[in-house]
Amino acid sequence: MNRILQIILGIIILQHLFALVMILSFLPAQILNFPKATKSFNYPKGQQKFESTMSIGDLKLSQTMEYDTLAGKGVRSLYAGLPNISTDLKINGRPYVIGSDGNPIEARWTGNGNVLEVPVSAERYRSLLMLSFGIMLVYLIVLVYMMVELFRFSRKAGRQEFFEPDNRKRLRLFGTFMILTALVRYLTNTSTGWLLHQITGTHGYRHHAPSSGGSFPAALVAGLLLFIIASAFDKGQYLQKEQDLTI
Amino acid sequence: MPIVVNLDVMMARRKMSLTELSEKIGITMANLSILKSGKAKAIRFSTLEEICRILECQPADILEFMSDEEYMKLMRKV
Repeated sequence: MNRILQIILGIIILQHLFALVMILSFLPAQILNFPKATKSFNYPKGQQKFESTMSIGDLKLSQTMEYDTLAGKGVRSLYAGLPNISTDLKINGRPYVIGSDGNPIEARWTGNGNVLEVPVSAERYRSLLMLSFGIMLVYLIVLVYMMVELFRFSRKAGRQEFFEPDNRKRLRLFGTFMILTALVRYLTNTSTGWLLHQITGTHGYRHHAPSSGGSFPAALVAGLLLFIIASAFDKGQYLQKEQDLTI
Repeated sequence: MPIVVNLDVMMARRKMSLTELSEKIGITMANLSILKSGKAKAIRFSTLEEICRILECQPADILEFMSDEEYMKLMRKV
């Protein structure tokens, strides 16, 4: 059973390492080569519309490329989107947001009408890419470290070496990670309207709780439970020492 | 803890090495060393019984209670 767990963990570690390599090789190039002009780019021939999206947690960054037949060139539109947001202004059923100059800007719904995407400038989009790159990099490094620690923990468990100071520290580490992840997730889930305003500089919308939202994150409870188990390991370690020194 | 293990004294009297004793009792050398050096937290009756049987002695020949002062004096000597 323990061997199976180790194999699964090994696969997860490799998967995350692969994701890390992909991000390290793909995103910096995209950030560095990102053109400042939005309306002139090499449009892929034979295509009328081309979309590429990237999701970092709840944040969705999209590029829509369309060929402007009148102008005879490609037009690229850049969007940043977040879920669970409703707009105050709707014209013909289409959502509009208010720009920093006070003018309405047409936004769009994606992801089955759940994600509101707002147009952003190339500079802002580039900054978001860089920020996302940083966050993803840090998160993946931490995640890989956690997986390696979990792998070590399972190896110790396989040798029946449970009550050791290292394992106790590992449990606390996993607990802290789960609590922090749950808190960040909870905070971002409940403040997407504020986040979209910070990201795009627009306003005229508000966060609405998702149908399954508002509940206390299960990961937070799991993290707290891990802290309780770590305390039990303190006692276990003491008993183990007593046992080891009983001849 | 002012309970002193006099295992080394009894072993010397019986002219028995640690290796020989550990083999006869059936516990590891490492555990016997812990007992001999006084680092052990507790001793099982079964272990004590085996030691007494092999060394032909009484538990009191192996374990000795000392007052705190006596124990401190002994520790200073050691």
